Amino acid sequence: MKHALPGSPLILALHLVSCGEQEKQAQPHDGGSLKPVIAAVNYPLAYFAERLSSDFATVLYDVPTNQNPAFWEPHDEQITAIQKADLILLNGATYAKWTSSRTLPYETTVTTSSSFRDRLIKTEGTLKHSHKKGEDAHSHDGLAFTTWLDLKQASAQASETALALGERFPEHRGTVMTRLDALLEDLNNLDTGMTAATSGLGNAPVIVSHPVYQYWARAYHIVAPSLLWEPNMELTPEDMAALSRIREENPGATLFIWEADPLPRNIEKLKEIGLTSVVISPCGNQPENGDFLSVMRANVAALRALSN
Amino acid sequence: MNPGGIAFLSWKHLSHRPMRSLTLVTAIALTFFFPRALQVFISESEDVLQERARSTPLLIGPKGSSIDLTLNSLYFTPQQLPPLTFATYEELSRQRFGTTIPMHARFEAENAPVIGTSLAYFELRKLMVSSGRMITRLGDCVIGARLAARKNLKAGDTITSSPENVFDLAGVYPLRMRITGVLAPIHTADDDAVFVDLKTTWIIEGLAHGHQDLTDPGASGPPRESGENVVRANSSIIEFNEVTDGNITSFHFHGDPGTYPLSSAILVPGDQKQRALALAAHQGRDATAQMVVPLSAVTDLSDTLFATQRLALAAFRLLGGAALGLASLVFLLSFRLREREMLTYAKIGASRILIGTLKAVEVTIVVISAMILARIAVSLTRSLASDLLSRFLN
Repeated sequence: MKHALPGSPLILALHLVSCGEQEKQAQPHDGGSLKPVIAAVNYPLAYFAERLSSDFATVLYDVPTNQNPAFWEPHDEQITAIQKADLILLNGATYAKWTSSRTLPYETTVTTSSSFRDRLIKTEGTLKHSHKKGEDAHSHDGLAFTTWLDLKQASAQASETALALGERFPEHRGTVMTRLDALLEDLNNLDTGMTAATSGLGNAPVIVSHPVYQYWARAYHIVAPSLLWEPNMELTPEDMAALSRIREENPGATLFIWEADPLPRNIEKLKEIGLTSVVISPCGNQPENGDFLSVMRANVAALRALSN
Repeated sequence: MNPGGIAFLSWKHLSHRPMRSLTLVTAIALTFFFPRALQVFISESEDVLQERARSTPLLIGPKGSSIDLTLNSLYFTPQQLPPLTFATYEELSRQRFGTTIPMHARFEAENAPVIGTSLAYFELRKLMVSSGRMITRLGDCVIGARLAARKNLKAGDTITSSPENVFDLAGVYPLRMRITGVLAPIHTADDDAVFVDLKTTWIIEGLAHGHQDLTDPGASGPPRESGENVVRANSSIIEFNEVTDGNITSFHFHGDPGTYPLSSAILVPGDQKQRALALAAHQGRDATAQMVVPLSAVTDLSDTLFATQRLALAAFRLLGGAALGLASLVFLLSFRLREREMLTYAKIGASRILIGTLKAVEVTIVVISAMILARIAVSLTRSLASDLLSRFLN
């Protein structure tokens, strides 16, 4: 079932806003640099910000390439730098846990998933707890946060980024909107490609190595039971037993999705039991080669190759 | 006798009875001082109140007394009104009327108000960190210059929030906060306050907390509820009363953040149009919050102060008249007691005019000394008025 996103009315609103308002003087950044600074909590948002504002702003994205931005913990100096940014782009959906325990200026912070917050997917923790008698038990696992893997949601996040940039830097609003058109076209093409590629997979479930594909599965109508495997881990008999249980619960699965290139031994092990490995990178962090678009295109190409 | 001789004789007499002269000077000085000091204090207070109100364009708070809301938000007086919800603040931010700054002024630490807010508050009040650095995480605070001096606190020290009621052991969560910096003095209520991230006040309020891992066997209660993955925490669980690098990731919030409390929010509209739109949006009868122009609220308060001032001035004038009458009586009695001395002056050739001049000079010296003393005291009152005012308000 297709879902409607509030992205389209948002984009229309963006264009209307861009036509009418008077230009205001942007505040110069006080960090010594003349260019304003835009901080982003993950690579997709940093990429959107870069595409939309590369000539008039600097994107601050400090997460080391070997770390997951969702669980990265910045130190005090990095927080101080982020606090000084002219605009701080959050993913929302509890992504980047540090944002809830660090001091960020509310006024310059924008949650890019706010236009579809009523459609965020709740994840139940395996362990609930309560603090005292009579209190309802709860878990802290929260929300699925890889929102951009639904590429329509990625478009909504790009649009929200553009809206925030236009408000913060009204003198660049026209440029930002023109660039947004190009970015949205790229994302729409990716979405169309992903829809076509996943439709070729049929109705069989797809087993995923990590619980980060919820929005992707929902957007492209895929049943995607999840394990908690890392690509570079050695598969143990216990892991294989967990996989067997999932296959029993979801019969017919022939495809196994990894976040990154797995160990060749793991590919072989899965092949022996009839599972084909394919890499669909969430691209939460900056790739070693290419950019967000090229990684997403590679994801589409990998799935399309399976259909062929 | 030349004028120098008259002044010399008068001075010698006054200094011969120093206690009597001092009492007279003080009594007359106080008679001049009180009405003038009251005027100065109220005038300075009005200026101080209006200056802070002027730099706070609009306030949003729960419905109720606009003066209570203004004093709580501007001077951190105890919160009298029910809280505003965070959802209201978020809604206001979404309406894009300008910069919206949350304020939470309910708790205290070391008898100083703990203010939960955002970094924009420091920009609004032009508060600069004079030593240390700005807050970066939950449990961090920066403190006002006067508080730092009074309690001998500096960056790197800690300060603990106080329970609202010492008998309510299960109430407000005492949190030991890390002082990351001391603010430069700006001679307002901010100099006596502790500033934290809004989220830190929610920890103090008990809406967020950190504790040891409940899957740790030592932390959970003996029985796990059968059929469910539910761990019931017992009293042995270690709940953190300080945020550290080691436990910061364990801090979490409970419940719907939209229901979390604020005292008020400061709205700084970008232009007149935004201001008008914001005011219009809160005019409706069904609006759940009130929007207050702090300058208007302060003007109302000043009008009340002026009415009180008129009454007090009338009372001071009556008292002053009585005091001056008593002082005149003291002079008359004193001259009566000195009749023999005056007779001696006459015998050695002093005219009646000269003796009269001698008496007048004595009275003049006392009155001028009293006026100088009163003037000094009034100047002192003027310079201390803003500090005194913020202390009275707290």
